[in-house]
Amino acid sequence: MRIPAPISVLVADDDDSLRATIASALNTEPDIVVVGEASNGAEAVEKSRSLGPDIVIMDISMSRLDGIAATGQIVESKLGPKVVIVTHLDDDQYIHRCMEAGASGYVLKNVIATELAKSIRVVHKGGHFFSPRIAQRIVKFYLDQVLPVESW
Amino acid sequence: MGATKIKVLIADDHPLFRAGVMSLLNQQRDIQIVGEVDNGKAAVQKARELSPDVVLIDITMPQLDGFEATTQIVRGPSKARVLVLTQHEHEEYIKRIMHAGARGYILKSAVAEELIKGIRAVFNGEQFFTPEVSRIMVESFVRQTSGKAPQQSAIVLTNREREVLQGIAEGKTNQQIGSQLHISVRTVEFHRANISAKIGAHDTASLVKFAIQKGIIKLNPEQ
Repeated sequence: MRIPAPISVLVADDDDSLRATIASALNTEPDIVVVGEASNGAEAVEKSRSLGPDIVIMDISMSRLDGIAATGQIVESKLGPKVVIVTHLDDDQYIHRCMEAGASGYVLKNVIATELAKSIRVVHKGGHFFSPRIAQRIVKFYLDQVLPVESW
Repeated sequence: MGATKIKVLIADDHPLFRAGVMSLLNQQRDIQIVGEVDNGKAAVQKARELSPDVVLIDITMPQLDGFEATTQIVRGPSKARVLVLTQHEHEEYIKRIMHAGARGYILKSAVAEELIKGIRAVFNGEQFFTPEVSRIMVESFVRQTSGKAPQQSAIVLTNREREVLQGIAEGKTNQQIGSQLHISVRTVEFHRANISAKIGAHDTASLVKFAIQKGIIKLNPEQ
């Protein structure tokens, strides 16, 4: 029996202790391995290039380059990794901008314990993952687009 | 739940399925089935006669399909809210029937509790979708949006804000916009402030410029 290669992950967050917590939590998953960490957006782009992870866990508010711009650069330059946004920001603007930048997932920080590993697996398989609260917002965006505007 | 029950009309052309749904709903203390029909035309008619709160409607039905029946029920005198119950998982179906005025969409593969939850939600004026349906809409939106405009076009206006902005761009006063949209002047001011904040515009001229750039209003070519 062949054991499939674990999913390699880069964790980008400017909060050192949170980054360490996320990394060690992910390393307890048998099919996930954290290959690097970054403390700002520019470093996340650099390490995406040098380490070639499958997935980048990306915070939004970071110095040097914010997580959205970094996501845009990673996705646009086709460096390979898919990006899962991990943030406490659930404003419509951020969700929209992250999606436009090409993020494949959006997980709220208050639910990372239960959802982060799951999101990594889904995104690695080519899908998208959104925390339920985020998915609800996206459904709203969709319907805003689809539904006729009243009294237009 | 209060004394008044949610009155439900069921429209589906499969007798057995209808019977199953009815027996499920009959067990709910807050739901009362007021009628059942096996085609779209009858659904429209009964929606008028029986004034149900919720019409549970299938899409594929003889005589009049669910799309057309929904349109007629929503436009008609009935105050009923339409909840779709179907096996169709295509995005086109979801889009079309929501456009027709449905309030929710449930797949027949969903569990029974979802249906009951959906009826209550729609009755309360909310929208309701089973997780699979939400997933279809999310995936579609992601496909359209993803990587389309990295780091740009960060400005997302709601439909209402777009309407208010259109009014502003057309030179209407807050009062005129308010009465046109049936909202108070204060609400117009509130939307206006939000639009300004989103766009980063501090005067009317910048708002108008933005509206033109985004095609929210068009300049008359003759002018």
